Amino acid sequence: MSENKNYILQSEQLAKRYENDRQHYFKLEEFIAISDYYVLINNYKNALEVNNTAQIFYPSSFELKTIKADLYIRNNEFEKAEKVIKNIEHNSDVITDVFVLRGEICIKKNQYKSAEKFFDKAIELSDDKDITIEMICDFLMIMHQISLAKKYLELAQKIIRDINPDLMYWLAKCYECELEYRKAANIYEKMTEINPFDENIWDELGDIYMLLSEYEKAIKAFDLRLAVSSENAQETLINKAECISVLGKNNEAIKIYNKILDFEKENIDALFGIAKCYEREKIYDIAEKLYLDIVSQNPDYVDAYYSLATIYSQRNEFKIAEQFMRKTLNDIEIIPAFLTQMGKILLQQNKIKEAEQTMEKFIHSDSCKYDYQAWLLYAEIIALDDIDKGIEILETKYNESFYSIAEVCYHLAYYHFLNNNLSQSVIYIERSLELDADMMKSFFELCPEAMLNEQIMNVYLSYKTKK
Amino acid sequence: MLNIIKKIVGNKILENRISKIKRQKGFCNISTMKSVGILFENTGSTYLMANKMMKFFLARKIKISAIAFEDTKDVEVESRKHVPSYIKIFTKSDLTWYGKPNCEDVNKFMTQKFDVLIDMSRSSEYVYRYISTLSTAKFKIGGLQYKNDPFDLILLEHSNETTKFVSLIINFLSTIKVQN
Repeated sequence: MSENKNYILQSEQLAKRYENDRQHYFKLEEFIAISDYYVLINNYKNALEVNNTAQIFYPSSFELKTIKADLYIRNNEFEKAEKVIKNIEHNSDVITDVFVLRGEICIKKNQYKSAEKFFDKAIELSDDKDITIEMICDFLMIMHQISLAKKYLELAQKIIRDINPDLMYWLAKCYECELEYRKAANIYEKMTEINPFDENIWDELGDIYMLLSEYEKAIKAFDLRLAVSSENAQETLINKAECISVLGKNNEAIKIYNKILDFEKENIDALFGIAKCYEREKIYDIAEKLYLDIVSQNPDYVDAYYSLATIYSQRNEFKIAEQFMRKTLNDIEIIPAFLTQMGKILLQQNKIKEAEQTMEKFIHSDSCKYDYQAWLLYAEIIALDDIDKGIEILETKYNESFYSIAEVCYHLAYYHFLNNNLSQSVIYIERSLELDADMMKSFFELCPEAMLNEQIMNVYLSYKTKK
Repeated sequence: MLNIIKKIVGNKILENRISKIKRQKGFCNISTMKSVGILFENTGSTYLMANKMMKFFLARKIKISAIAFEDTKDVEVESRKHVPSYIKIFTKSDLTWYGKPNCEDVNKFMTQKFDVLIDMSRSSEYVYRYISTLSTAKFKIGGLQYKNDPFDLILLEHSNETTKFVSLIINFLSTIKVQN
């Protein structure tokens, strides 16, 4: 991880030098580093310009040509990319790269099956499989093709003995994106065994334990991170305090937050943490005052608006809650939990059409792609008016991303039951039982009349007997 | 003194009206019922719970009609903007001097032959008693037992929490079998 950071820093410095002095002599790898830097900041035009300059100095470099084709693809200039590829494909040294590039073009054109074929071939022919997989996954991650990236990273884990830590890190990130937190935690644990002095991985491990609600383990990970290095550790301390607070030790958590504030008076996250502690202690008046202080200091602090909306919702003051929630929704970045909360507040006020429109506007954003709670609410709102459409929406998402989420499965079983499609309902109940049988209770809460249904009860009881 | 007179007059009127009510009794559960009438007091938290229950019925395509009493005289129009059309709200200004509801929505509600009437008020106050008693619903569910209560079924929820009362009603209607 730190090697990666160093590379980025060096690339940035080289890029600055390049911008100030175009006549400066650069080695081939330095040109490539500069180009990499521009790719990192999504400036493909500059990256291409660097590549052109580099080709003047190193006209026979196939590596530069491969990079050029890659840049054209990323910039959606497929014809130009094809031309470059045709120029280099006769060279057996770059045959692997050619397959990767062709796969990339297919991904850009949404031809996923063909892309997989090219990538598979590239890996098969490659002598440096980790480098090839890294190239493929770097592109797939940028293109948000998480499932496919995960497939190749899992393959890398199987076939490469000393796997590059970057690939392990990416795999963990893919698992996080697909809500497979346990698997992500396993990877981070392995990474801390390989390099126990990497503070970033301890932070990642602590964060993932938080997502798994394993707060004691998270605290341990954060403590080890602080033991490795106490530099730039405010965020770690804040996360640790948050875990302590969730475990109910709010006084202890407030002490940590105050310690942070002693060093950095303006640390608004620490102030927010203190407010959250009061909220958890149900001392709403103080929490409310602190949240209002936070938004007056920083009107963009959306978490504070969200918390204020939660407090007002609890007091059944939905109109004010809605006003605060509106400040958390913007076109640039949507936090799925905020969208869900907004939808619920609108529903509480029976503003069904408005709830539908708000959800519709934001639900298709990348950040909501894997948030099943937001999709469940969206489907619920749609189903109020048109149950078939609600089912269609949820079923599509289930097949795309939520195949392993029991709650989605139970909801589909419920909607099919309401829609008098018992056979389909039973299929989803069977799948849900496989995923998480304890959640059957939630299904019966949604659909108590299913307890009178012989077929459903037979499925449930035969599952219980088998277990 | 005036309160006692109000009570006497109110009870007398109610007694007279009961004898004129023609009501066909019957029982159905969630799978067989086609319509439901809901009576509740329009306070913030009760409204939310009634809303929750109505969504449950709506999802099952059961026709809903609800009437809510609000213990105020002035009505804030803005707050009614998003109230669904199947909920009618009446206030103190819709009551006669002795407490009888005197508005078209309530009269209509009482004459609708719902499969089930749910009185969520859990109160023996005259306004609720009047509507529940004179409703022509086939099956009446309430949450409070009192002298001459009109209910066919009383579901007692001792914690007094509306959430639990609503769950009790939903569970009862969902899990009770109806013999053909």
